[in-house]
Amino acid sequence: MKWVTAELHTHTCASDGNFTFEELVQSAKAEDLDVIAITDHNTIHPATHIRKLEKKYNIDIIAGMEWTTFYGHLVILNLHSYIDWRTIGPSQFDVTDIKKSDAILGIAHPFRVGSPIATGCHWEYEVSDWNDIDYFEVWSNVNPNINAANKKAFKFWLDKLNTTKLTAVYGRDWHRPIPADKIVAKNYIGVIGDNMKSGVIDAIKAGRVVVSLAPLIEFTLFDNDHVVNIGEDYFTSNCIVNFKCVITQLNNIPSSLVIKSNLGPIHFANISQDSIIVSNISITSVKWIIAVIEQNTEMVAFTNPIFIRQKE
Amino acid sequence: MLVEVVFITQILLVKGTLFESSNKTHISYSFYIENISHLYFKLDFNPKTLEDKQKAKTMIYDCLLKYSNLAEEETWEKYFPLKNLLTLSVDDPKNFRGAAHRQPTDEALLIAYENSSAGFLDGEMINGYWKITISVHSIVTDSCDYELQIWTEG
Ligand SMILES: [Zn+2]
Ligand SMILES: [Zn+2]
Repeated sequence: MKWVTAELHTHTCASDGNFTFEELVQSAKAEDLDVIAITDHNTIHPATHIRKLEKKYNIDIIAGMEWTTFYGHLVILNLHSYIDWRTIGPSQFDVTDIKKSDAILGIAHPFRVGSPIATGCHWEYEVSDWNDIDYFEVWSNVNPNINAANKKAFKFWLDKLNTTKLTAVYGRDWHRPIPADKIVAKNYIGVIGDNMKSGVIDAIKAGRVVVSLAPLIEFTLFDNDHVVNIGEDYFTSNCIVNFKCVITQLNNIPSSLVIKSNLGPIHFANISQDSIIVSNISITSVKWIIAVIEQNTEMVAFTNPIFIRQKE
Repeated sequence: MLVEVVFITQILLVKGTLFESSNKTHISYSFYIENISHLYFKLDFNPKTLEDKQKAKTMIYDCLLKYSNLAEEETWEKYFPLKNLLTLSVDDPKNFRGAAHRQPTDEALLIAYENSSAGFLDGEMINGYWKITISVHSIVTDSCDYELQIWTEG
């Protein structure tokens, strides 16, 4: 598995962004991103144009669209033909047809303020089956770790993990150059295999994503027989399990590593530089665990969960 | 010297009035075209923004309260002025041909075999019924007058 960096929510002047597509790609290259998804509002870019930019700038570009309806915004990735939004009423959210394709679906900025301040931005559809939704923009926009709507989204997501698998990602909703006084995050995506784009899509579906302002947390559980990665299930009848966190790119800021679960925080460690933390935790009644890095009580990075499945 | 004669035909100039109650509607115009090379279209609407500060302040507070209850005592002016938003999309007889999800400018938009405007898809200008749709995302003013013009060339 290889960790790549990706921005999954972007706009150009094909909708309401300030960038041309080429300027967006140049900005992504300037940040050393390995992959971007192009997700303009309610329109798509021709595959030939995408290929041309990929070649010219040596970057992988996932075709997508932000399905921008009156009742919520859905980011669709790996989308190769337009999906109409103009015929869907507020109680008619149905993604059966989209799910027949290779596309994956993510709810964009779910708790952002809606109309009339930002029309349709707040998610208002009833989702009857959360298995239809592949991912959730738990972090959105600039300064994502202190954004109040993101804090709501984080809480909502943790609660959802008790009943479903739903991958958390960051979506910058990148429309224009980022002001110097604002910060952004990125997704570290665990890609398996040589095909970068399908690897990213598979990894998002599988939950191999770390959302972060900078540090990468490689979080695994292990016993004598297995190593379990984020996104995976750990089947066990043990009450205690070993975990390992390899933390890099921390920039020497005093931080704490917190292991959180459906029962709340279950492990703390102070770190101030790139570290490898190996310890064990009790997993009685634990359904899922994530690893979080905090600085001054604010989150700066979090992983997707490992699910604990207790054997009877 | 061979001079190419270009015929530009205005095929529609339609006007309408929208209200707050028109929010979340779509208005489509369907028109038959044959042997054209370019389709130009332009949407304008007025007013673009709600300039009534008192009304805007109430609407912004209501909105923040409804969606956030984040104790956002931040200044309501951050969201002033509220904007009307109408977007355009186009379907040819067979396929979706793009959208302009943005505020309009003075320039007409173009769909053609190549060099279509940003957000629209190049391709054959096939004969048949084409459709332009105005999607009413947001009307924050008491009323809003729109005007859509459509021209063909070729
Ligand atoms: Zn959006
Ligand atoms: Zn967006």
